[in-house]
Amino acid sequence: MIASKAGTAALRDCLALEYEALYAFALIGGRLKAGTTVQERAAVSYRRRRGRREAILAMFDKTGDDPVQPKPIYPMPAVSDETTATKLARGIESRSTAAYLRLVGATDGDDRAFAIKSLNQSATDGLGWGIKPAALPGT
Amino acid sequence: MTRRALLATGAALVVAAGAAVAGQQTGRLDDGAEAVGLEPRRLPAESDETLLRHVVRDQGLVLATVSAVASKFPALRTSLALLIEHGETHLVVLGSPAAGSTIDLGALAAADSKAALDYVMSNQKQAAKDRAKNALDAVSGEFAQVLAAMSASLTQHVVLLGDVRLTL
Repeated sequence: MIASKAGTAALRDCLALEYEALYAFALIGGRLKAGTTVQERAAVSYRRRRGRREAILAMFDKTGDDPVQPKPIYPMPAVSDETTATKLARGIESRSTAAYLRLVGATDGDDRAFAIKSLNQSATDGLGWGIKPAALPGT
Repeated sequence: MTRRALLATGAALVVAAGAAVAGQQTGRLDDGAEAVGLEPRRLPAESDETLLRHVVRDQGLVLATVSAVASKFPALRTSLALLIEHGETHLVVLGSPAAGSTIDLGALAAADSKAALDYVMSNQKQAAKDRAKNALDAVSGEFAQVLAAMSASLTQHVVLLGDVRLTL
Protein backbone atom coordinates (compact mmCIF):
# COMPACT_ATOMS: atom_id res chain seq x y z
CA MET A 1 0.00 0.00 0.00
CA ILE A 2 0.98 3.63 -0.36
CA ALA A 3 2.51 4.43 2.97
CA SER A 4 4.68 7.41 2.14
CA LYS A 5 4.63 10.89 0.67
CA ALA A 6 6.96 9.60 -2.03
CA GLY A 7 4.47 6.87 -2.90
CA THR A 8 1.60 9.34 -3.14
CA ALA A 9 3.69 11.72 -5.24
CA ALA A 10 4.76 8.91 -7.57
CA LEU A 11 1.16 7.78 -7.95
CA ARG A 12 0.07 11.35 -8.75
CA ASP A 13 2.78 11.48 -11.44
CA CYS A 14 1.41 8.28 -12.96
CA LEU A 15 -2.13 9.62 -12.90
CA ALA A 16 -1.07 12.88 -14.52
CA LEU A 17 0.64 10.86 -17.24
CA GLU A 18 -2.45 8.74 -17.78
CA TYR A 19 -4.55 11.89 -18.32
CA GLU A 20 -2.00 13.15 -20.81
CA ALA A 21 -1.80 9.74 -22.52
CA LEU A 22 -5.58 9.61 -22.90
CA TYR A 23 -5.47 13.03 -24.51
CA ALA A 24 -2.65 11.97 -26.83
CA PHE A 25 -4.15 8.65 -27.90
CA ALA A 26 -7.55 10.26 -28.48
CA LEU A 27 -5.78 12.80 -30.65
CA ILE A 28 -3.96 10.10 -32.62
CA GLY A 29 -7.10 8.01 -32.97
CA GLY A 30 -9.05 11.00 -34.20
CA ARG A 31 -6.48 12.32 -36.64
CA LEU A 32 -5.55 9.10 -38.43
CA LYS A 33 -7.64 7.15 -40.86
CA ALA A 34 -9.83 4.56 -39.16
CA GLY A 35 -8.75 0.96 -39.56
CA THR A 36 -5.03 1.61 -40.02
CA THR A 37 -2.63 -0.31 -37.80
CA VAL A 38 -1.47 2.82 -35.99
CA GLN A 39 -4.99 4.09 -35.45
CA GLU A 40 -6.08 0.71 -34.05
CA ARG A 41 -3.04 0.54 -31.83
CA ALA A 42 -3.90 3.98 -30.48
CA ALA A 43 -7.42 2.76 -29.72
CA VAL A 44 -6.05 -0.22 -27.79
CA SER A 45 -3.67 2.07 -25.89
CA TYR A 46 -6.53 4.44 -25.11
CA ARG A 47 -8.63 1.65 -23.58
CA ARG A 48 -5.71 0.37 -21.56
CA ARG A 49 -4.94 3.85 -20.25
CA ARG A 50 -8.53 4.44 -19.29
CA GLY A 51 -8.43 1.26 -17.21
CA ARG A 52 -5.26 2.38 -15.49
CA ARG A 53 -6.66 5.84 -14.78
CA GLU A 54 -9.69 4.26 -13.10
CA ALA A 55 -7.48 1.92 -11.11
CA ILE A 56 -5.36 4.80 -9.83
CA LEU A 57 -8.39 6.90 -8.94
CA ALA A 58 -9.71 3.92 -6.95
CA MET A 59 -6.39 3.76 -5.09
CA PHE A 60 -6.73 7.44 -4.15
CA ASP A 61 -10.31 6.80 -3.05
CA LYS A 62 -9.04 4.12 -0.71
CA THR A 63 -6.37 6.26 0.91
CA GLY A 64 -8.37 9.50 0.99
CA ASP A 65 -5.50 11.43 -0.58
CA ASP A 66 -6.31 13.99 -3.24
CA PRO A 67 -5.56 12.88 -6.80
CA VAL A 68 -4.34 15.35 -9.40
CA GLN A 69 -6.99 16.69 -11.74
CA PRO A 70 -6.78 16.50 -15.52
CA LYS A 71 -5.84 19.66 -17.38
CA PRO A 72 -8.33 21.10 -19.81
CA ILE A 73 -5.75 20.92 -22.58
CA TYR A 74 -2.31 19.38 -23.12
CA PRO A 75 0.19 20.90 -25.52
CA MET A 76 0.76 18.32 -28.25
CA PRO A 77 2.89 18.24 -31.37
CA ALA A 78 1.08 18.29 -34.68
CA VAL A 79 -0.20 14.81 -35.56
CA SER A 80 -0.69 14.62 -39.31
CA ASP A 81 0.42 11.12 -40.26
CA GLU A 82 1.66 7.80 -38.86
CA THR A 83 5.19 9.08 -38.37
CA THR A 84 4.20 12.02 -36.18
CA ALA A 85 1.63 9.87 -34.36
CA THR A 86 4.19 7.18 -33.63
CA LYS A 87 6.70 9.71 -32.36
CA LEU A 88 4.15 11.11 -29.94
CA ALA A 89 3.12 7.63 -28.74
CA ARG A 90 6.73 6.60 -28.18
CA GLY A 91 7.31 9.62 -25.98
CA ILE A 92 4.22 8.86 -23.91
CA GLU A 93 5.10 5.16 -23.47
CA SER A 94 8.68 5.94 -22.63
CA ARG A 95 7.70 8.40 -19.89
CA SER A 96 5.06 6.00 -18.58
CA THR A 97 7.55 3.17 -18.26
CA ALA A 98 9.85 5.41 -16.24
CA ALA A 99 6.99 6.70 -14.07
CA TYR A 100 5.75 3.21 -13.20
CA LEU A 101 9.26 2.09 -12.40
CA ARG A 102 9.50 4.95 -9.89
CA LEU A 103 6.15 3.87 -8.48
CA VAL A 104 7.50 0.35 -7.93
CA GLY A 105 10.17 1.74 -5.64
CA ALA A 106 7.77 3.92 -3.67
CA THR A 107 5.05 1.36 -2.90
CA ASP A 108 4.53 -2.13 -1.61
CA GLY A 109 1.80 -4.76 -1.53
CA ASP A 110 -1.10 -4.41 -3.96
CA ASP A 111 0.01 -0.97 -5.11
CA ARG A 112 3.46 -2.26 -6.00
CA ALA A 113 1.83 -5.19 -7.82
CA PHE A 114 -0.16 -2.66 -9.86
CA ALA A 115 3.02 -0.70 -10.58
CA ILE A 116 4.88 -3.82 -11.73
CA LYS A 117 2.03 -4.89 -13.99
CA SER A 118 1.72 -1.39 -15.47
CA LEU A 119 5.49 -1.22 -15.99
CA ASN A 120 5.40 -4.50 -17.90
CA GLN A 121 2.45 -3.38 -20.01
CA SER A 122 4.04 -0.07 -20.84
CA ALA A 123 7.35 -1.71 -21.73
CA THR A 124 5.69 -4.13 -24.14
CA ASP A 125 3.28 -1.54 -25.55
CA GLY A 126 6.33 0.58 -26.25
CA LEU A 127 7.73 -2.17 -28.47
CA GLY A 128 4.58 -1.96 -30.58
CA TRP A 129 5.27 1.73 -31.10
CA GLY A 130 8.86 1.02 -32.11
CA ILE A 131 10.71 1.65 -28.86
CA LYS A 132 13.86 -0.46 -28.70
CA PRO A 133 13.92 -3.24 -26.10
CA ALA A 134 16.13 -2.53 -23.11
CA ALA A 135 17.93 -4.48 -20.41
CA LEU A 136 16.26 -2.26 -17.81
CA PRO A 137 13.20 -0.56 -19.28
CA GLY A 138 12.27 2.65 -17.53
CA THR A 139 15.80 3.59 -16.52
CA MET B 1 24.40 -3.16 -22.98
CA THR B 2 27.92 -2.97 -21.60
CA ARG B 3 28.56 -2.01 -18.01
CA ARG B 4 30.01 1.29 -19.22
CA ALA B 5 26.92 2.02 -21.33
CA LEU B 6 24.72 1.00 -18.45
CA LEU B 7 26.42 3.41 -16.10
CA ALA B 8 26.41 6.11 -18.76
CA THR B 9 22.64 6.28 -18.67
CA GLY B 10 22.98 8.18 -15.43
CA ALA B 11 19.63 6.90 -14.23
CA ALA B 12 19.08 6.80 -10.51
CA LEU B 13 18.05 3.19 -10.69
CA VAL B 14 21.27 2.07 -12.23
CA VAL B 15 23.06 0.87 -9.20
CA ALA B 16 24.13 -2.66 -8.60
CA ALA B 17 21.31 -4.59 -7.03
CA GLY B 18 23.70 -5.68 -4.33
CA ALA B 19 24.23 -2.05 -3.42
CA ALA B 20 20.49 -1.50 -3.39
CA VAL B 21 20.04 -4.45 -1.10
CA ALA B 22 22.79 -3.26 1.18
CA GLY B 23 21.50 0.28 1.02
CA GLN B 24 18.86 0.90 3.59
CA GLN B 25 15.24 0.90 4.48
CA THR B 26 15.14 -2.13 6.67
CA GLY B 27 15.42 -0.66 10.13
CA ARG B 28 17.90 -3.33 11.15
CA LEU B 29 21.00 -1.81 12.74
CA ASP B 30 24.49 -3.14 12.98
CA ASP B 31 24.70 -3.98 16.67
CA GLY B 32 28.32 -4.97 16.27
CA ALA B 33 29.26 -1.43 15.30
CA GLU B 34 27.34 0.03 18.21
CA ALA B 35 29.04 -2.37 20.62
CA VAL B 36 32.44 -0.93 19.73
CA GLY B 37 31.27 2.67 19.96
CA LEU B 38 30.67 3.30 16.27
CA GLU B 39 27.56 4.78 14.76
CA PRO B 40 25.46 1.75 13.86
CA ARG B 41 24.71 1.51 10.14
CA ARG B 42 21.58 0.11 8.64
CA LEU B 43 21.78 -3.47 7.46
CA PRO B 44 19.96 -4.92 4.50
CA ALA B 45 16.98 -7.11 5.20
CA GLU B 46 18.09 -10.72 5.47
CA SER B 47 15.28 -11.64 3.12
CA ASP B 48 16.67 -9.28 0.46
CA GLU B 49 20.11 -10.83 0.77
CA THR B 50 18.60 -14.28 0.35
CA LEU B 51 16.49 -13.04 -2.55
CA LEU B 52 19.51 -11.51 -4.27
CA ARG B 53 21.41 -14.80 -4.07
CA HIS B 54 18.41 -16.65 -5.49
CA VAL B 55 17.97 -14.16 -8.35
CA VAL B 56 21.67 -14.29 -9.24
CA ARG B 57 21.45 -18.07 -9.45
CA ASP B 58 18.27 -18.03 -11.50
CA GLN B 59 19.33 -15.29 -13.90
CA GLY B 60 22.60 -17.16 -14.42
CA LEU B 61 20.60 -20.18 -15.53
CA VAL B 62 18.39 -18.03 -17.76
CA LEU B 63 21.45 -16.63 -19.51
CA ALA B 64 23.08 -20.05 -19.76
CA THR B 65 19.92 -21.41 -21.37
CA VAL B 66 19.81 -18.71 -24.06
CA SER B 67 23.54 -19.09 -24.71
CA ALA B 68 23.25 -22.86 -25.04
CA VAL B 69 20.36 -22.61 -27.50
CA ALA B 70 22.15 -19.93 -29.54
CA SER B 71 25.18 -22.19 -29.68
CA LYS B 72 23.28 -25.31 -30.75
CA PHE B 73 20.90 -23.56 -33.18
CA PRO B 74 22.82 -21.23 -35.53
CA ALA B 75 19.56 -20.15 -37.18
CA LEU B 76 18.51 -18.52 -33.91
CA ARG B 77 21.84 -16.95 -33.09
CA THR B 78 21.03 -13.49 -34.43
CA SER B 79 17.60 -13.40 -32.81
CA LEU B 80 19.02 -14.42 -29.44
CA ALA B 81 21.99 -12.05 -29.46
CA LEU B 82 20.03 -9.27 -27.78
CA LEU B 83 18.75 -11.61 -25.09
CA ILE B 84 22.30 -12.65 -24.32
CA GLU B 85 23.43 -9.02 -24.16
CA HIS B 86 20.59 -8.17 -21.80
CA GLY B 87 21.16 -11.30 -19.74
CA GLU B 88 24.79 -10.31 -19.25
CA THR B 89 23.72 -6.83 -18.21
CA HIS B 90 21.27 -8.26 -15.69
CA LEU B 91 24.03 -10.26 -14.07
CA VAL B 92 26.30 -7.20 -13.96
CA VAL B 93 23.54 -5.23 -12.25
CA LEU B 94 23.14 -8.10 -9.80
CA GLY B 95 26.84 -7.90 -9.07
CA SER B 96 27.68 -11.28 -10.54
CA PRO B 97 28.89 -11.06 -14.13
CA ALA B 98 29.18 -14.80 -14.69
CA ALA B 99 26.64 -17.09 -16.31
CA GLY B 100 25.32 -20.14 -14.53
CA SER B 101 26.21 -23.73 -15.14
CA THR B 102 26.09 -25.48 -18.50
CA ILE B 103 22.63 -26.32 -19.73
CA ASP B 104 21.88 -29.72 -21.21
CA LEU B 105 19.73 -29.34 -24.33
CA GLY B 106 19.72 -33.06 -25.06
CA ALA B 107 15.96 -33.22 -25.42
CA LEU B 108 15.93 -30.66 -28.23
CA ALA B 109 16.53 -32.08 -31.73
CA ALA B 110 19.15 -30.08 -33.58
CA ALA B 111 16.86 -29.57 -36.57
CA ASP B 112 13.93 -28.22 -34.62
CA SER B 113 14.58 -24.49 -34.30
CA LYS B 114 10.95 -23.78 -33.52
CA ALA B 115 10.98 -26.11 -30.52
CA ALA B 116 14.22 -24.51 -29.36
CA LEU B 117 12.67 -21.06 -29.68
CA ASP B 118 9.62 -22.19 -27.71
CA TYR B 119 11.94 -23.50 -25.04
CA VAL B 120 13.66 -20.14 -24.69
CA MET B 121 10.34 -18.28 -24.77
CA SER B 122 8.94 -20.44 -22.01
CA ASN B 123 12.10 -19.94 -19.97
CA GLN B 124 12.02 -16.16 -20.40
CA LYS B 125 8.31 -16.00 -19.61
CA GLN B 126 8.77 -17.91 -16.38
CA ALA B 127 11.73 -15.73 -15.42
CA ALA B 128 9.65 -12.59 -16.08
CA LYS B 129 6.94 -13.88 -13.76
CA ASP B 130 9.48 -14.87 -11.13
CA ARG B 131 11.24 -11.49 -11.19
CA ALA B 132 7.87 -9.72 -10.89
CA LYS B 133 7.06 -11.81 -7.84
CA ASN B 134 10.55 -11.17 -6.45
CA ALA B 135 10.01 -7.42 -6.94
CA LEU B 136 6.86 -7.68 -4.90
CA ASP B 137 8.69 -9.49 -2.12
CA ALA B 138 11.74 -7.21 -1.96
CA VAL B 139 12.03 -5.04 1.15
CA SER B 140 14.23 -2.38 -0.45
CA GLY B 141 12.36 -0.19 -2.93
CA GLU B 142 15.49 0.19 -5.05
CA PHE B 143 16.01 -3.56 -5.21
CA ALA B 144 12.34 -3.93 -6.17
CA GLN B 145 12.94 -1.49 -9.05
CA VAL B 146 15.88 -3.50 -10.32
CA LEU B 147 13.84 -6.70 -10.23
CA ALA B 148 10.77 -5.10 -11.82
CA ALA B 149 12.87 -3.62 -14.64
CA MET B 150 14.35 -7.07 -15.26
CA SER B 151 10.86 -8.52 -15.38
CA ALA B 152 9.85 -5.89 -17.96
CA SER B 153 12.93 -6.67 -20.03
CA LEU B 154 12.21 -10.41 -19.98
CA THR B 155 8.59 -9.72 -20.94
CA GLN B 156 9.82 -7.68 -23.90
CA HIS B 157 11.94 -10.66 -24.93
CA VAL B 158 8.89 -12.91 -24.99
CA VAL B 159 7.11 -10.47 -27.33
CA LEU B 160 10.16 -10.23 -29.59
CA LEU B 161 10.57 -14.00 -29.76
CA GLY B 162 6.88 -14.33 -30.62
CA ASP B 163 7.57 -12.15 -33.65
CA VAL B 164 10.59 -14.27 -34.57
CA ARG B 165 8.50 -17.43 -34.31
CA LEU B 166 6.15 -16.15 -37.02
CA THR B 167 9.08 -16.08 -39.43
CA LEU B 168 10.27 -19.66 -38.82
